[in-house]
Amino acid sequence: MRMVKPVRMLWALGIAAVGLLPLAGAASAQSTYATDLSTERGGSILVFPKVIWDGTRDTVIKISNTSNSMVHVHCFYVNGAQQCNETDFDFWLTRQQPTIWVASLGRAYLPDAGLFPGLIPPVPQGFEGELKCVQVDEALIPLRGNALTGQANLVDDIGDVSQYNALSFQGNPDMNAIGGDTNMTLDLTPFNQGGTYSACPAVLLFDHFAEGVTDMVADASLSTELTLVPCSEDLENQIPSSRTVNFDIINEFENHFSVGLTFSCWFNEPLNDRRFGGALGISALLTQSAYSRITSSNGGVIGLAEEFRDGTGAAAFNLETEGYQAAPDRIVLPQP
Amino acid sequence: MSTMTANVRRTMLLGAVGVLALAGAATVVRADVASDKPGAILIFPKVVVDPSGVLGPLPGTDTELQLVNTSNSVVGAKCFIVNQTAHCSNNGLACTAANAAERCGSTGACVPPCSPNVAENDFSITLTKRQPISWKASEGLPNSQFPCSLNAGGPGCPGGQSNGTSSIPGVQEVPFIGEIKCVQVDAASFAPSTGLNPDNNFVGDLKGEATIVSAVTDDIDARKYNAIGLQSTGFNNGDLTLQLGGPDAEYNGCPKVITLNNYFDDAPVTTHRGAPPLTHVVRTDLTVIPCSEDFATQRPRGTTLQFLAFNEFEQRFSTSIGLSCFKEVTLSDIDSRPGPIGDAQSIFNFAVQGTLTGQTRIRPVASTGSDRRVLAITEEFWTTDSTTRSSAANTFFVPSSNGSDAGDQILLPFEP
Repeated sequence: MRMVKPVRMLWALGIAAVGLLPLAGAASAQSTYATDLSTERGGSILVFPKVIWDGTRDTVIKISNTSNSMVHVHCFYVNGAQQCNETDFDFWLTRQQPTIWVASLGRAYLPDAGLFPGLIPPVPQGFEGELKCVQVDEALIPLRGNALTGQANLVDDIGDVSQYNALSFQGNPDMNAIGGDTNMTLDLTPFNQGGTYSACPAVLLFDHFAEGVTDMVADASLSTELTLVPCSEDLENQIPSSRTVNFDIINEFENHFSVGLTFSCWFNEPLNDRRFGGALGISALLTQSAYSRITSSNGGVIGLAEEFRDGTGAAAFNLETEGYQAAPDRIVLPQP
Repeated sequence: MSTMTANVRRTMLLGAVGVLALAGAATVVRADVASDKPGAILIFPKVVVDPSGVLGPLPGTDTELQLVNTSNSVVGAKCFIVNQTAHCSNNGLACTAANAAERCGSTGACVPPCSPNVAENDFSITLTKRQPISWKASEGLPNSQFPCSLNAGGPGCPGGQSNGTSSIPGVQEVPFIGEIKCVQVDAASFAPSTGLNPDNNFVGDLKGEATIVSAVTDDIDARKYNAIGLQSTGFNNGDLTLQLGGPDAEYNGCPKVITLNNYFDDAPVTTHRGAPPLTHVVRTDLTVIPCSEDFATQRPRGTTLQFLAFNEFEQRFSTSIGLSCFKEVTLSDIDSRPGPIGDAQSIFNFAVQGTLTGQTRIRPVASTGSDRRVLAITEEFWTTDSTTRSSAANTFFVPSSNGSDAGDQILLPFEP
């Protein structure tokens, strides 16, 4: 039977609408970063990739509660200089409360220094590693409240200072209804909005100067230190994660170079370290600046970089990110 | 029921379900700006050239700028250097509110920037696939020094790619303080475009950093921040009005609230346990710029900024300040006279707050038809008995609701 015109139009509308569904989903996913690892939004896991107390450089940590509720925070110092040993502590922050402590000093009870959040231990001299802080409930079970922001200052013994924002993993608050455990999966993306915490990036975008180039302003030799930590961490069994990372390096002439290396637990080296094989130096690159894309074949990595000019004038900066790891990383906290 | 009626019902049901599902799936959840991801608009809120220390505490200052095309395609960028340097009304010297008396004397006033108009120079560049470039703000980068310039005489770039007629001017004057905004454009037509990289969902391909370096002989200081990226929504009509957030948004909207994890000014911070401990006095400079910008008529678009500061006792204080088109201010000068007088009475000072750190929330007041939102960075100056050293950081954002936002606009100039 011949369909009347209105029916034909309805068929066409329905078919077209269903056909456009995948594109609409893609458009929706395309425009949101509310699920992404961030360096400028409150999160449920904070990572400070570079914490140092070696007698020369010290680190000042600032954490704020951006919410209007009390939050409980469980933190872990991970010592990259000592087989990834971890020390943990916890504290409370009232609504909108900031707190601060110095890595070498920790935080003792000081009656006039603000509402006391809790004792924070100092790190031993020689500590080089990371600090991870997780928003938790009263029972130290992870809670996805996205209330924490953090910053760190790296200060040396002549007063030189640099600063970076902590990396913050967004938690999916919808998962709080299901309950949480100490095994945290990093699988939340715009395409998997049922995930738990932000997925680690597929690529780190590292825009840097060629190692050893003469600085444009200071007429000094410019060096960059790169810090990388694995996204996955097993703090329950204290098993360090290792990562094999590859650098695709592009100079200003669009010439490509590459180098790979493997590290365990924590990596912090200047770009003229022997493991880079000179690929990031001015002698190889021949141009002032370069762009390195950092990927990992066996799990996610995150990090930051810090420049020095003739060994001083420190300036830290966060790396940018692209994409998401195909397989989720995991952070396993010790059982409470 | 007749077959025809059943057919009509099935058809209507299919159409209704399809339309409803499409409407639900097409709900765009827009996030805020990001300094940790590439974008289609890139903003450097603070660029300084100050050899003599007129505009800040450290002489010998210049800014190193880095820009990268993160995509595997050739991209263009249309950039604007916005001059925000204030001048004395009587002698034309560069000045700040804090040194107005010294620079302008008793017969002049330090006229703020963009009064009456915003002063900008613009330039266009083409970047080849994944190409990084860098330049010094005071000198720019002439075409002959672009790595893939046809005039460079160098080895050139693979596949015959070229930077074309790219050229970056130096800043308009010295001393200089201001901002740089870069808009990703189509490399052929130079019309505003979306990103070209499918790996980041076409949100934009530009990333950059600024390093403010101060050097006097062997005394070197540096502070670095990531340029702030506004991500494309995937829609761009290529016209001269760039819609940031709000209805028919071409780019993500600017954040509704900016938050700082700040030290209160003159906070004494002791580090280095053992002998000798080191005590620093910390002060913070805040640089705020509006998201909206009118490069067509060069009229400033200001707003009022509401500040809410919490100390470590969870005590809350508030103040407000006007923003015309650019503000670079020490925290203690937000609610006190410019300069050191009155700082000890500021709500941003350790002398008032009694705790080292605070959390500050900055909310711009919207107007009809525009959210009048802002972007910001902070710089800390750490002083010991012998040195002053600085660091910089990007601020934090509170995600905006977007649903009822009016948005902001950047109006590009018409070029015949």
